[in-house]
Amino acid sequence: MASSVTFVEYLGSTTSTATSTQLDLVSTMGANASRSTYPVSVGNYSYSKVFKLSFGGTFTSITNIKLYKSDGAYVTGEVVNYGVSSTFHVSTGGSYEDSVATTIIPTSAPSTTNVTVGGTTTYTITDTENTTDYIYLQSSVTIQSVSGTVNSKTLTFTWQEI
Amino acid sequence: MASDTITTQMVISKDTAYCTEDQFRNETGFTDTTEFTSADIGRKIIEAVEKVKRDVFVSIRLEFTTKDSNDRYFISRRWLANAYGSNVSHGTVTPLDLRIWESDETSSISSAFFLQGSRINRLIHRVPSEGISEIDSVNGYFKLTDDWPSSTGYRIFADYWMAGKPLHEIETELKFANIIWTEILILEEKKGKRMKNGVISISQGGRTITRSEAEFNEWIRDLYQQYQSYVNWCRPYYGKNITIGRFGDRRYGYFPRTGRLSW
Repeated sequence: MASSVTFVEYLGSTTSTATSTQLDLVSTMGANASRSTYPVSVGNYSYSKVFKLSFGGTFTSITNIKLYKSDGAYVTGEVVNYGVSSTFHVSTGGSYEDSVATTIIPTSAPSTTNVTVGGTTTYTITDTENTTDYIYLQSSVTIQSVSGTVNSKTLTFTWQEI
Repeated sequence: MASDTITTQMVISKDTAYCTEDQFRNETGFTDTTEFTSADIGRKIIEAVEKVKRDVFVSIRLEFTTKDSNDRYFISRRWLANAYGSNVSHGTVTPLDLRIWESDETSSISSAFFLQGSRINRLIHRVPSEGISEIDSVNGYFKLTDDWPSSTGYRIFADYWMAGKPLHEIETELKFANIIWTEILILEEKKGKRMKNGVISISQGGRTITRSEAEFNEWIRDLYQQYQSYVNWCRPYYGKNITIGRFGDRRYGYFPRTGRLSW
């Protein structure tokens, strides 16, 4: 058996959670919200997604978790930023940039881990301590963007597992 | 090395009005799509947008901009708003809401503008919207692409539109102003077409509302009062009242400096 991952999204508090099947960036706070119902207006930020990776299945330890964008090109004026923090804050959007999601997602696997656990990069995930820190995801759309559906992007998480 | 993936995607919108058809129908109760067709409501919403922009925003023409060391061209007033007369409204400030001009600083043209002198040779050139690379509506500046100005040293002028508050703060007020003026447009149209012997009727969902013209006018006037309160909240204070005598130049309206709107 190997490990399995669940994407646990936090909706306004650390006790309100939902399991995400997609991380579409929209103009409201909500797990698996419809992107066409909640489009992001030009010149604005999407509401930031706040989620953790929760590991299940059978494994002894997991280390070195990395996040990168493996597929999907940006359109003009579009950027997706991320950030990781051990502390929780409520999603922001509209005119407000998320205070943590400020780094552009790398387009290839970084050389070192960029997803922390307990605020540190030297960690080991075990059966009893099986979640990462809060990962924040937010898109910004400049005034130069044109309306329409943007390309789907694939976010890949890799890790070393024993 | 193990891995897992998840996708992310979004839809980018550029709003063409401050309210949607659904919002209009929900707020006003005009839900009958036969009596009040989507095409007609959509057209009136766009007409109302221009009316709202004319009433709420103030235009500033050909203002000299000041450039800083980071190539930011600053305008003197805020808050930036949407241009009227453009038939588009994004609810946020875009390059379509600015009109940028350049002219040769070494000639008499720029100084003539500045001094408002009589020897004005209006040789200015419009910088296209694509030439605007960045707008900061809160701090009141814009940047141009590397292609502009077309010659080093050319002065940059700006036409822009301003509101009394940051645009994102008055989204709700603009939405309701848009809805109310759309409703007024519809009622005014119905008044003329449906009036018979001084009585006006509107049918919706099998029921007919019949009112006298006086009652109908009262309904419209009541809507106008609501519209005016939203407009007064959003519009900038621009200009100065001069009082002559005791109540010499008092203006109408709840707030003393809001001025009177004509309908």
